[in-house]
Amino acid sequence: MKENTKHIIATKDLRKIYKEDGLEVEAVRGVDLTIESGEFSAIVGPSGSGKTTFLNIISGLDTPSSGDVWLKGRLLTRLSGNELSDLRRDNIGFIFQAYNLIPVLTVEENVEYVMMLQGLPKHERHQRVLNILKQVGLKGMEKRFPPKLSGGQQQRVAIARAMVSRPALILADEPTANLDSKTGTALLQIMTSMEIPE
Amino acid sequence: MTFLFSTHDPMVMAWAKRIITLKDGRIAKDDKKN
Repeated sequence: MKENTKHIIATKDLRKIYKEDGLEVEAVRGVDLTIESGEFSAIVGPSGSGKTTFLNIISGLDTPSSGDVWLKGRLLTRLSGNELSDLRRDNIGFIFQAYNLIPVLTVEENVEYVMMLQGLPKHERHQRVLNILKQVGLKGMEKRFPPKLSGGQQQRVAIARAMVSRPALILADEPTANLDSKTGTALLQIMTSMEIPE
Repeated sequence: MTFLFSTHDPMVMAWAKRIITLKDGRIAKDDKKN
């Protein structure tokens, strides 16, 4: 089956079964879903409803027990480990509840890291880092280390890191859960209004 | 850019243009806002 490339993500009869203490637990049970380019969608549901498992599968961090996943029209289960890593690196920015910054790297180095893996020249990396840190309100904090920042500031760094490489898709797992509502609102505004050149 | 969030946060839900509800590993609801 060929998948429509206007869909960033498409899944067909996606299933995931875990074994827990000898018992089979079906975390994802036949999900058919398409996400189109430019959408802002939220996956909701109680704990244990399969949200995180689903996100992990569509981002290639986990594999389905059966069913298909396409990312930008490419069937993930057909890709080698290296092809999958490259596709993920170039197309998905991740934002996590616990920020997941590298504590021994500065703000600037955390944001620059993915672009180094992509082989972007130093000058371009530097320009992009300065530009995006300004947009997320962290101008002047380039040399600080994450443990010295507030939760809201750390999540701003994480947003900058996820968006600086201009991925097609931002996946965020409970990104506002550790933030007060004022900080969470500010971050949503920043993300959706950010000017990212194609 | 496309955004896909998993969340319990009513503020994020208010912001989203589409709410996909999972229950027991299945899509229970898929609401698109106009």
